[in-house]
Amino acid sequence: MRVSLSLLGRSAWKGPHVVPLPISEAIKTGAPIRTNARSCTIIPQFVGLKFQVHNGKEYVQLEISDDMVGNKLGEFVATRKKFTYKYSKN
Amino acid sequence: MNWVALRRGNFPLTRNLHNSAISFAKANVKKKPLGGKTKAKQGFKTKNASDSKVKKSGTTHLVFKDAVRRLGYEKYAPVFTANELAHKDLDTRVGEIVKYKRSTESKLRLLGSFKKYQHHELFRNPVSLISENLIQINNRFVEKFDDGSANNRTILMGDYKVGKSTLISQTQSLVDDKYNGEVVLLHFDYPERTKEGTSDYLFNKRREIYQQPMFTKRWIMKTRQANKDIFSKMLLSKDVTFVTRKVEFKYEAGKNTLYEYLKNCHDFGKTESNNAFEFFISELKHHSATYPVLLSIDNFNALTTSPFTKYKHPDFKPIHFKEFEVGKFFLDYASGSENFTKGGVLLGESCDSGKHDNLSIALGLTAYDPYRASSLDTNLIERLMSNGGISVFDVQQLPKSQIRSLCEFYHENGVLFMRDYIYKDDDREVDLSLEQIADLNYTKSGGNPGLLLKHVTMSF
Amino acid sequence: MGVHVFGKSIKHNSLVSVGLAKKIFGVGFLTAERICAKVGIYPQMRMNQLTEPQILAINKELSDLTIEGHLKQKINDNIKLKRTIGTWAGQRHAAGLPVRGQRTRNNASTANRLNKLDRHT
Repeated sequence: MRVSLSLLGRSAWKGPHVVPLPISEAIKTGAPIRTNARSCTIIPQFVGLKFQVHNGKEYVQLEISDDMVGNKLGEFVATRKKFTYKYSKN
Repeated sequence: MNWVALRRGNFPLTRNLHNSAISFAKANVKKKPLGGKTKAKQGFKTKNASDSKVKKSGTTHLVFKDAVRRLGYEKYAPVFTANELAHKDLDTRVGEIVKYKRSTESKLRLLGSFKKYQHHELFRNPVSLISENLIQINNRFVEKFDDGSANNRTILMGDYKVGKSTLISQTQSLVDDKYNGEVVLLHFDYPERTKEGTSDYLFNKRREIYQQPMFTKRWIMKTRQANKDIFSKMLLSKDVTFVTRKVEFKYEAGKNTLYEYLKNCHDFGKTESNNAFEFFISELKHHSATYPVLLSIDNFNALTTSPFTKYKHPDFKPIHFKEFEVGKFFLDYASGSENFTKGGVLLGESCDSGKHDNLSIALGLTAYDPYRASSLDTNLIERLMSNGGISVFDVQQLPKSQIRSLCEFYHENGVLFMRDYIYKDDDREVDLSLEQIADLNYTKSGGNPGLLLKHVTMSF
Repeated sequence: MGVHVFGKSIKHNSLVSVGLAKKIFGVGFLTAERICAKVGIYPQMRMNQLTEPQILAINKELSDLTIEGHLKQKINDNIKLKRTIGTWAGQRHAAGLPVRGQRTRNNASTANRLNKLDRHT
């Protein structure tokens, strides 16, 4: 992931958009972090942790890998169901 | 042709197979060379030699005004008698219509002083009128040639089509006549060509300047042809050696002439940078005490309006026109930092090139506004203001009497069309005399000779 | 009638900068003009006026850039990375649908045509 890409649309002085999350606890206990903050940027400290990100209805489990750094949490949790055609007689 | 019928074998009666397109196609194939690459022709429309159109010699691919000039209509214009433009007794000949001296005219043609869009194709020879402007420029510019070119710099300004370029060619003619041909005429009719990117360019490391071999070569050729007589009299002041087409030339000072040098030295940096142009100018400078130099640059405001050229440095910054050999030459002599011992610098303004404060501030016509400094080329302005500045010559419109004599002349030469019948207007018979037409045209043109000619030619 | 630059045949009467920009994937007008300025080609030069050393110099400049196959490979790799880490953009590419929230009820034909995991084959 290019570092500059996350800064493209955002002023450098603001830094990445990160919300306060109980990371230190999660590192100790290994428990997943349940959050509604879909717009939180994934920073390198998140790598290896488990997140439960809200998709509007329920919390979807997600493990952060190296490549995901720089993206938002919400990008990995779809808010829409995939369309499937259901055949019905009526 | 009914192709369905053809395919069925029912050929129409009006056209037999031997003269239909199919047979021609076969004949065409035979003509092609056997060994060469043959491009398969598609479609049915193949023409044989008799069918194909013969290309006519008309220049219809040109823009109308260019085509008119190219077709040489002046050859069919009636012969007229007019006196030649001469320096002697100029003051007494105001309002007279003159042609150029024959030798001068051919020089000016070579130099490109007669421009397109000046309607020279209407007359057998280029004509001009001795106006008050010419008297003024004679007194203010031509008579001051002995002061040196640094102290004799004038820019012609005025309205659209008021005759600035014509005044330049008239001045060249006057100077040529005054010094009896012993004057060097350097003329740039279109200096934009140095910055529009049509010539190649390379960097001269020794002089730290860019050269434009193609442009320089063409300009030198024109100048050499026009000034052949005078250059043949100029002996070189320095020894010079150069190589042209693998032949080495060695010219000695005081023995060989500048014409010989220019004739054989036509490589102005084609393969690698050289200092041929610099040498040429230094020679002119050396001889300028005996042979005065008139440097005339038309459309000078095109350079000051947008000083940066379309050329780019290797780091992709645009190159300023003064960083070119020719552009530096323009600025050196227009600013007076270089001097011909006898001579003058005559600049012309073009109304098509746009106005910019760079020039008007340098000429003292507009006050310098520090808030607009970012859009100004202050360095250029300072250069142009140095050494006493350039004097502004306002080209004036013609008075009514001269417009009348022009109308008369146009009428004699079949340019001004006059109704030779009387037509009725509100039960009142109207007969336009020349006097009235002159009045009308004076009102329409406001004394502007270019507009007058336009009105006269474009309307009945 | 073509002049061969960087393995491409470029029309002989086009301007050098225009010809490069039109023919070489990953070179636009600005990059082409930069290359011309660096090599010392004047703005109005045509393709057929190029000399052999100038063509070599252009090739050298071009070989320093990520263009043609390398650029296509790079674009494909980026799309594939998005798919493997499971982002929404990657899923949309795989489905051949618009990536940036455009409507799909109608008018998604460009996305249908272009959005693939192997965008440049």
